[in-house]
Amino acid sequence: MSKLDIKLLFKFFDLIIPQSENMPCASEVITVEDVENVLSGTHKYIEPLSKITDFARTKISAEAENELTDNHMTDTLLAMESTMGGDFSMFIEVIYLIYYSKGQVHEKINWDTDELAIKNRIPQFDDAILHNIAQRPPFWRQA
Amino acid sequence: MILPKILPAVDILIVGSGASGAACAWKLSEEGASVVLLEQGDWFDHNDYPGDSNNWEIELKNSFDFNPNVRQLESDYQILDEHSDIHPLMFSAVGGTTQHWTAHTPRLHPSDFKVKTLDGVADDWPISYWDLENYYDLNDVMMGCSGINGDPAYPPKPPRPMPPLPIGKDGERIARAADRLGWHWWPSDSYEASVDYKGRDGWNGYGTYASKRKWRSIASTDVTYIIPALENGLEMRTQCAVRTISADPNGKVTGVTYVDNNGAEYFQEAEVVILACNGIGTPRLLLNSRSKDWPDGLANSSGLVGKNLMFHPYASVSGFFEGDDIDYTIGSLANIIIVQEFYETDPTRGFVRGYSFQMNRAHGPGHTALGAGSSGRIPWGEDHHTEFARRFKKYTGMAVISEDLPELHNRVEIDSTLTDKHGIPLPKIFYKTSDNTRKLLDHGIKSAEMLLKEAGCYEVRSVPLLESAGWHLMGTTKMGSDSSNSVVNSDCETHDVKNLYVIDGSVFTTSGAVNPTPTIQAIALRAADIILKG
Repeated sequence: MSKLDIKLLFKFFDLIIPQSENMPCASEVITVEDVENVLSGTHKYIEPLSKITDFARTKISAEAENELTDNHMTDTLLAMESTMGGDFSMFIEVIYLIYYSKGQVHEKINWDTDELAIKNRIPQFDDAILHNIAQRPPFWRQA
Repeated sequence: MILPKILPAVDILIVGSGASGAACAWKLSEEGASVVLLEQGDWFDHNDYPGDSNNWEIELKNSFDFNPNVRQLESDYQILDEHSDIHPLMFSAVGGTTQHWTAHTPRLHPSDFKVKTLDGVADDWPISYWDLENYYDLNDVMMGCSGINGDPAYPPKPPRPMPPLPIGKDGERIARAADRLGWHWWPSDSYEASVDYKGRDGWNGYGTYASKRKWRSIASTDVTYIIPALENGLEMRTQCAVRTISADPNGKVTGVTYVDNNGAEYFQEAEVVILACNGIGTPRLLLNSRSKDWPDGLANSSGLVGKNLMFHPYASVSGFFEGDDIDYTIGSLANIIIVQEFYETDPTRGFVRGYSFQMNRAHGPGHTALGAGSSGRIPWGEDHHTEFARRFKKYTGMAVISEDLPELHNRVEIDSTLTDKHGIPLPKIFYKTSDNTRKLLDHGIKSAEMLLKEAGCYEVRSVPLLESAGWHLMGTTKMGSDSSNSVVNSDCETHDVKNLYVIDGSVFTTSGAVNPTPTIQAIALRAADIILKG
């Protein structure tokens, strides 16, 4: 896919993950290079995203690209979702995976990836929780 | 046509270095046997695992996807699975699929070996739980089993080599709910180190599945079996894809033809050949070994090579909690708690045999957004952030792992035109879940919903069949006493071809309703002893 194709897809990103009071929108954290990196790492997204791009082009003329309303774009996304569900799922997968790989998003959702932080550790197993089940007689079937 | 270069004969040749091949190679080498091990993949550097990088969830959907058809690494071969309800999962490398698994390691039950006698379905195995018991114990030590003995669902086991893995806040909620319902539950046996063990780092209660893989706390047979076997003198040849197996007119194996990574072809003569290529790779190899003497594939006089493919169909049930966060993105994925209240046949339920529950966790925020388990993809658009906040760190899941009864129409065949990069014909699989499986999974979903609601979930969602969960590949070279109704005997030697053994999940007569790896490895260790005794 060309940079131009990816830039066309970018027009939909903020309708998929919009900005909220606390959270950034997709285009604020995702770059064209991020998408290129994901596409270069696997074959599985290339064909679906090409189809999504082609579909978008049938709905959006080059001349009108800069004058699109959100309603028009949302209608286009809904049409993609209903007529090409599998390809659309791959498109969503790319956006979600990149968005939620970003440090600034992790910070906002309180996803502390500091694996050495004590607060991120699960306590060791305490066998007191076995109190009830350990009293059950063996019930495996003889054979 | 260039003839393969003929290599001097070796005593024992094993094909495949995964769970079974590695265990068998170690046992044979430990007793001084001369063994060559062929592996189609290469050594896997654990530092290549995405680990704790921010991209790790992206990698787990791409180059480290569990599905080889998605991953398409150089060592993967494609599996033609468009006619299958379930997509098979595997990994090609030294260590095989133990390089990329959750390491949930329950044993089969004694009853699993006698389903014909007990329940009138399928066939009994020609061996029993007790034939494997010592090998289960040995394997638990070699692989490193974390757990705790005293589980009332099983015969007594020796003390587990390591204490159980932490079960977390979500695990505690499930355990207490099972107690209140009067149901069985137990901390899972797991081949993941809870403490430092035989040079491997123990898991200290932090980090995700991916980072634990990187640290090697999860066992893989390159570390647990292959390295010790190499010290015993094992000869390992990597990136060697076996094309065919040969036998003489008297029905004795003579060796294998393989191609290396440079395209050079060899014929390796061997006194004994052992196949350990998994429930798809092994029948693929036998069916590809057609010849004038074996027109339907090697060792296939029964016509059962490739038939009776079993998977363990999974259903998934997810529940959402309110209030405090739970630990659902930290720690083990599926080797946490097992529930076996519904394992055995109960005629009042309307189906035969039963199922286990495995408690599951998600990976991280990316997988949460994509709807890990059965939680469903978070919607795009204006509700996205609200819905994400409702779910993130607030749900857990139960997987229903069902017994899969053998059926002839579920099978592995060889495609007549498509081949891998070496020109070796690809496997094509046909698989449909049965009515019995459907009833069993539906019962499991209702039970899991009850358990999750008892645990405090205010909303529960389910997926009736996980398509991308074909972890367990079984049944395609069935073990049995009758050569007309099975492919290998109780010693794992093929009925038709002397000195040709199969030791992977292909030999399972029936599937049970638990993860198969400890049983596969126990069978492999036992077969090694039998081969050593000649």
